[in-house]
Amino acid sequence: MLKTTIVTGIIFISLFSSCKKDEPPAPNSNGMSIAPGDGVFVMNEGNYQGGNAKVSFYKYADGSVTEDLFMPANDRPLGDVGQSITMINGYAYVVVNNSGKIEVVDPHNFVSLKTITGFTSPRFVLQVSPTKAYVSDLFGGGISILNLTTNSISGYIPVADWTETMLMTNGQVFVCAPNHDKVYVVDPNSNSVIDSIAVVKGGNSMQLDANGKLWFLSYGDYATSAPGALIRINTTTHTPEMNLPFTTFDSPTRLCMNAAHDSLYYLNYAVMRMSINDVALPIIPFISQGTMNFYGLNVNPANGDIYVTDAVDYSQRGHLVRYSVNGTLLDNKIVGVIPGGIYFY
Amino acid sequence: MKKGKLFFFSVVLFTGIFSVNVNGLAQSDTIPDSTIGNREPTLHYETPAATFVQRLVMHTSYPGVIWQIPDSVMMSHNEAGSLAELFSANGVFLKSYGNGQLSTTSFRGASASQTNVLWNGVDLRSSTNGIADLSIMPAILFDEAALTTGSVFNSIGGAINLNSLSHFHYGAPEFKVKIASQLGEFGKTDNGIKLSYGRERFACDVRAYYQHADNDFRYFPVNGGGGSAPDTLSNAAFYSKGLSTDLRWRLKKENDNFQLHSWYSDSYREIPPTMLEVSSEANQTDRFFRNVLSYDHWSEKVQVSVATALLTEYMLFVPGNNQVNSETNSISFQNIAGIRFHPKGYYIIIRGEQKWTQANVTQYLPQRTQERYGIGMSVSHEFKEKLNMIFLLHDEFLGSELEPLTGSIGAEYYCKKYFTLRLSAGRKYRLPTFNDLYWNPGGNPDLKPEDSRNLDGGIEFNMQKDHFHFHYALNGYYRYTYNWIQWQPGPGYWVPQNLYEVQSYGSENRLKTEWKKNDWQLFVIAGLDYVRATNEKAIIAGDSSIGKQLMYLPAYTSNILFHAAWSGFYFEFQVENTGLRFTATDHSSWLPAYSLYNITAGKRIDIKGEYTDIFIRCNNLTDVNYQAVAWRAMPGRNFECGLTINFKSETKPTTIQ
Repeated sequence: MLKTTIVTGIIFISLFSSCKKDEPPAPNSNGMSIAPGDGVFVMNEGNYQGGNAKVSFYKYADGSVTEDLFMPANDRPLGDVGQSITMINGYAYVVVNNSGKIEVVDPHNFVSLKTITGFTSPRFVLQVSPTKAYVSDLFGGGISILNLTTNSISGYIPVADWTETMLMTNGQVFVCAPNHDKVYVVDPNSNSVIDSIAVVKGGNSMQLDANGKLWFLSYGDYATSAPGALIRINTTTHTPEMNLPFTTFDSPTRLCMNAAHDSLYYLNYAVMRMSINDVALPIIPFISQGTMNFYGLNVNPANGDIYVTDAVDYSQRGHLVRYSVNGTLLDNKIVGVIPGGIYFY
Repeated sequence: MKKGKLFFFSVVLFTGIFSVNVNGLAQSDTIPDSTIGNREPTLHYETPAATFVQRLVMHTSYPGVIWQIPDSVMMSHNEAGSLAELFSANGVFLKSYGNGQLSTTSFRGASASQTNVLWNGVDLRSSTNGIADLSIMPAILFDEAALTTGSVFNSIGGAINLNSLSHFHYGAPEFKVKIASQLGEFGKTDNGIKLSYGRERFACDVRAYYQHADNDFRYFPVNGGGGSAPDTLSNAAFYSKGLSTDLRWRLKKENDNFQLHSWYSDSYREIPPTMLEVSSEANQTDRFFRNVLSYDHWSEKVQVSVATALLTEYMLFVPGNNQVNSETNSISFQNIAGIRFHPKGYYIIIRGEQKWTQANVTQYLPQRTQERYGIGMSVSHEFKEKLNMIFLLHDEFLGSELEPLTGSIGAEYYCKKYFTLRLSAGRKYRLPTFNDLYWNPGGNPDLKPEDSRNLDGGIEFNMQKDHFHFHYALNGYYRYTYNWIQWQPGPGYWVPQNLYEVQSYGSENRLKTEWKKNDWQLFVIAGLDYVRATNEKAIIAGDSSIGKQLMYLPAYTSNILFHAAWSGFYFEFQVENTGLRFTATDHSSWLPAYSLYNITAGKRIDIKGEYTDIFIRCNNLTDVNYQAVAWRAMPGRNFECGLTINFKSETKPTTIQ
C-alpha cells in the first residue's frame, strides 16, 4: 500500500513538474523530476567501447541515487565513454567522447532535445558568449565552435592535437593541451590562438582563484616519466608566477576550488588541499584514499562538502563518496561504471 | 599385443589429444584400433597422428578432454573457411568480434592468452600480445586439428594442436588436388587449393588460400536509438591470403624422416565501429612467415627428434582519427630436441628447448629480447594392461632466472570393456607477454608468471555394436590460478598487475552417437559445458566482484549437431547455445543468452576414395539479433554455398619390393 502511494506520489509530482514549461517534457520513466539545487549529476564514463556511459543523480534530500537518467528518458543508451556535463542556458550539454557527440538534454527530466554530431573525440564544453561555445577534442586537432542557437558546429579553431579543459577570464580562453608543454590562449572574438604560455606537458585541469590568478595542474608526461606541476599563471601578462613541481610517482588530476576560491583541491591518489597563498605543495593527504580508488573530485559550492568518486576496478559500478568540509565521511553510494565528473546542480 | 597397445597408448598419451582429422586426407593413415595390436613399429613407420617431433612439444600433457571434431563429412563443407568458422561449426565457444575479426577461444574459464595454439609443434601465440587469432588461420592448411582442455605442458588453459603432414606413397608417385570454395552473402569468398605429391621417400603439399569478406550486412541496433531502424556495418572488410608448403622426405634408411613446413600469410582487416561509435577508420595488417624444420629418427629402442623454427611477425594497427599507429615487428627462433626410450616397459621422454624472441614495437622502442631455455621429462608405465601412469616434470630459465618447477601426475584406468577413467593433477604457469612487461607507458617489468594448480578427472564410455557406436565422456576439473595478470586503467594509463586469484571449476559433457547401415548414416554430436570461474582476491574496498563469474564467460554453453545422410545426400541441423555473459565484474550488466541455428544440405560423391562435396547452408536461421561482444554487430540470417573437389592421378599397380 505504502509502495503504491509512493509510486502514485512520484507520478503525480512528475506530472505536475512537467507542466512547468511550455513544451511539456516527456516524463522520465524513472519518475525523475530534477530542479536546481536538488543534487549532483555524476558522469559515469563507462568502459571504452563498452557503451555503458551513464549519468547518475544523487539527491541531497534523501541521499538516493538514480543510476541512469538517460536511458529511461530516451529509450536508448547514452553512448560510449561519457566525458563531461556543462550547463548552458539551462540545458545540460552531455559530451559522449567515443560516440563523437553531445547530447543536449533538459536537466529536469533528462530528455534529449538534440544530438550534436560531427566531432572526432569531444571532451569539454565552454560557453564563451551567449550564442557560442567551444568544444575541446582528444584527436580533433583543435576546438570546435558550437552555435548555441542552432546547436550545431559552426567553425573550427586549430590549436593542438589534444585540447582538454578550458577556462575563460578577462575575455580570453585558456586551453590545456596535454601533449604539449603549453597553455594556449584563444581570443573568442577572432576565434584564433593569440598566445601560448610555457608550462609542462600533461595539463589536465585549471581553476581561477579569488585573486584572478589561473592555477594549472599537470600530471607530466607518462611516456618519458617527466613529472607534472601545479603552476600559478598571471592571466594578464600570460606568464607563470609560481611553479610547484611534483615527482615522477605523482599523478595529480582534477583541480577544483571551494566557493570562496581561496582553497585548491586536487587528487593525487589522495584528496589534497592547499590554500592559494601556500608556496609549497601539501604533503599530508587531506583525505586518504585508503583501499579505495579515487577517480573524480569536486567541492560543493553550497556547503563545502567534498565529493569523491571511487572507480573500484574500472569494470564494475563505482561509488560516490561524500565528505564534510573538514574531511569526515558522510555518505557512500553506488553509481555507474567509472564515475568521473561530478556536477552540482 | 601388449607392446602394440602400449605403443598406441603412449601416442595418445604424449599427444595429449584425441586427434581429429580436418581435411579427410590424413584419414587413410589413421590406424584403426583393431590393427594396433598387429602393427609392429617397422620400417614403414607412420604415426597415426603427427610425427614425433610434433607430439614432443606436447609430451608433458595428459589427455584432457576435447571437442572432438567429427569426421571428414563434417569437415568437407568448412574447408575453405577459417579455423574460427570450423571450430564454431563444431560447437567450440569462441569470443569473436565478427567475421574476419579477432577470434579467440579459451577453455575452462582461462584467458585466450592462457591457451596454447601449436602449429606443427610450435607455439603461434604472439610474443607481444600473447594471442593467436583463429580468424586468420584457414582450415585448409591443417590436416589435423585437436583441442585439449585438460592440463597441457606450459599452458594453464589447454591447447589447440594444428598439424600438417604430407604422406608418402608406396609404388608409383601419387598426385592429388583439392579445391575448396565457399561463397556467401556480404561479399564473402573463401578459396583454397591444396596440391599433394607423394612417393616412397618424398612427399610435398603446396597450399594456397584467399579469403575475403565485405561484411556490409544490415543489423538492428539493440536499443541503439532511433527505434529499430536497421544500420549497415561499415569499415568491416577483410582479406587473408597466403601460401604454405610442407615437404617431407626420408633417407635410404626409412626411419630417418625430415620435414619442412613453411607458411606465409598476409591479412588485412578493417575494424568496424561499435553500435555506439559514429564511425571507425581503424584497420590492422598482419603478416607472418613461419618455418619449422624437423628431423625424426626412429628405431625399436629409441626415438630422437630435433626441430628448429623461425617465425617472423609483422603487425600494423592503424587507429585512424589522427591517432598514433602501432607497429610490431618480431622474430622468434626456437629449437627443440627430444629423445624417447623404453627400458623395461617404462616409456621415458627427455626433451629440451630453447627460444629466442626479439620484438620491435612502436610503444616500447628500442627492441626487446627474451631468451628461454627449458628442460622436461616424462615417465609412463602400464600396469597389467589396466592402469597407465604418467609423471611429468618441466622447468625453464627465462634469461638467468629460474621459473617455477611445474609438473603433473596422471593415471588412466581401463575399467571393464567400455569404461576408461582418468585422473591427473599438476601445476602450470604462463609467463607475461612482451606487452605486459614493456608497454610504454604502463608495462610492468615486475610481473610474476601466472601460476596454476590443476585437478582433472573424467570418465569415458565407449560402445560399438554392429551398426551402432556410442561415445560419452564426462569430465570435471578444478583449477586455482595465482597472480592472474589483469590490465587496469591507472590515473593516466593502463597497467598490468598480478591482481587476481582465479578459481575455476566445471564439467564437460560430450556425446557422440552414430548409426550406419547400408546407405544410411545418422549421427548426433552434443556437448554441454558448465564453468564457474571467479576472482577470489579483493584489492580494493567495496569490490563487488569477489566470488562472481568473470566477465564474458558464459556459465553454460551447449551444442548439438544432427547429421543425416543417405546415399551421399546429407542434411545437418545445428544449434549453438551460449549462456548469459556478464559485462561488468559486479554483474551489474550483461549480454543475454542466445541460440543460433544453422542448417546445411548437400551432396557428397565418393569416386575412388576421393570425394566431391557441394552444399548450401543457412546460418542464423531464425535471424537472431545477438551480441557476442558488447555492441558489436553480428549478421542475421545469411546464406552461403560451397564446393570441394578432390581428385588424384591414376596410380599404377604397386610393386612390392
